[in-house]
Amino acid sequence: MAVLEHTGNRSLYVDTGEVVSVLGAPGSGKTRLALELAFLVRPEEGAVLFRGKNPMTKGKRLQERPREVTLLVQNAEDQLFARTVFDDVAFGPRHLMLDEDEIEQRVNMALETVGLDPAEVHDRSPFALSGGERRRVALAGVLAMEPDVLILDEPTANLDPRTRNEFLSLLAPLRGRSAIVWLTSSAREAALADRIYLLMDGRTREVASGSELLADWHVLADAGIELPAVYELARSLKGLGGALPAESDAERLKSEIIQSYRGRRAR
Amino acid sequence: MIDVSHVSFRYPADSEPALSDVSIRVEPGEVVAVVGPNGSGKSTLGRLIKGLLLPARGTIVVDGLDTRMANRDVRRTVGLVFQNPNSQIVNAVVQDEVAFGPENVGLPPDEIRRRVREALRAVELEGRELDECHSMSMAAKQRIALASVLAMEPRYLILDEPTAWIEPGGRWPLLSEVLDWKDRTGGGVVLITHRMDEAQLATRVYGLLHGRLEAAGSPAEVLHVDAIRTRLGLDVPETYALGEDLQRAGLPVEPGAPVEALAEAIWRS
Ligand SMILES: Nc1ncnc2c1ncn2[C@@H]1O[C@H](COP(=O)(O)OP(=O)(O)OP(=O)(O)O)[C@@H](O)[C@H]1O
Ligand SMILES: [Mg+2]
Repeated sequence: MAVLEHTGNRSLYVDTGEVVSVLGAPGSGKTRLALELAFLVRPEEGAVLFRGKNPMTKGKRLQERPREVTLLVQNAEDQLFARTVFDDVAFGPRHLMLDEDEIEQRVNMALETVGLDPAEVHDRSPFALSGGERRRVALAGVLAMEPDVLILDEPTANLDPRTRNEFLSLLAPLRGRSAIVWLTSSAREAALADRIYLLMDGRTREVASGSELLADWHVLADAGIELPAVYELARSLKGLGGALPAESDAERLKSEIIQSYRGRRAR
Repeated sequence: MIDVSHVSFRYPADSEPALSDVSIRVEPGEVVAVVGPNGSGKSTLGRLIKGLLLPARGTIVVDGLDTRMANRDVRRTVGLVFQNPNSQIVNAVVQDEVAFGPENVGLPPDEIRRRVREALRAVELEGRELDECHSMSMAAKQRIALASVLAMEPRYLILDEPTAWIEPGGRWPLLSEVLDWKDRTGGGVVLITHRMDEAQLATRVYGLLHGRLEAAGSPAEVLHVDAIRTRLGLDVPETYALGEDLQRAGLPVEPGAPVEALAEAIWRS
């Protein structure tokens, strides 16, 4: 049985040990879905099941939602509030009633994971950090909770290129023990996950993982999803009235574009 | 011209300086890109040029105005679009936010209306004048933040990751508005960005690392050098690489142009 499951039009599930991505264009309802999966709003349609049960049956208030499910909201850097970075990251673990040693250990580990030096940032104000550092602190805060289920809504905004490319390594400490849902509008990011769902027109469907994802690139393009440059080029050419090449491999697609347009010029 | 000369700066709360001995130059009519990892000092540099922070050492002179001596005038000459639109937007309603600056400097109502209209058109937010800022998406907020600064008609624009929240299809149209603005007004642009294809649009690229200037030069001299990219944790400018491949194959494209422009060049050929 899946740890977390959404039923209905936007059905999806995630198991412990998995990173599952939900790929959707801006405005496709990713944030709404993220809030539903974290039991922060009631589903518009379908139900959300935690360990096979709907914990939010009639009469239950949202305040009674399962604490094992944690959400990193889209503008998480705006939600930092504590006086020090340490207190901010420790906030979640403190609510789990862990002892102070354990909390300190978790905070340090989470800060290191996101590339911040614990000794250097502990006593700093979270407001006196760069945009990307604030995002990292917010991320450390959810990592330190070691949640059973972690929902990440566009978590790479504001991160520098290297950190963005290696984002999966930031989740490494949770891999194996948590179920992770990563909502993103970038095909490149989505392809890093173990399984991929496409969210489009209020529906989800599971698509081929990783390298096979781009086999469906024209579907992704139509949905307004961010694609590697050569696919964007093909999409733009189509917008100008060109034929849509059937090729799905990036290198072959490039060759095909070169062939057809170089020929055109000679004519 | 913006002339940042040997500037160092440390935030009072920090032990390490945020910037050490940094010098950069921005001519009117040019786009300069600033790249570098999180915490390398990019936004700090932007705040210093705007005159929100003052250098501990070195000087910043904008069209002959020193940010220390003529702070008010510098602030009018330089427009800064914040990295986080939530920290910039102070009004509830879109048109009030965009009119806020022009009203504060006492422009006549007709002029304010004209500026608000043009700024909202530039960021493609016409028709949303009466919407509530706080309930809008981050992408829309980022557009409002840019519009508010454009409405002040500054001489120089500092854009701090202006497309971080903009949807993929909206980034190039927004940047090309900025480039049009630059061509029309002869203004200068400082583009702080984590997207290498955007940095590629600049005439010069400055790379920061731990508050020091680690690289400076043309996009080719900075962004196409493996050693620099590795040191600064930068990506390959993907669209540039594609443009180069197409050019090498004999297609009449300008490497460095955005995908839409590549497509048009190929299509017209
Ligand atoms: N208000 C502040 N008070 C104290 N220190 C700050 C403040 N803002 C930033 N810093 C520190 O100054 C350094 C440079 O920060 P800055 O915001 O300029 O980085 P940045 O290059 O813009 O990073 P990012 O890519 O994350 O936006 C960092 O070490 C940061 O922690
Ligand atoms: Mg910054």
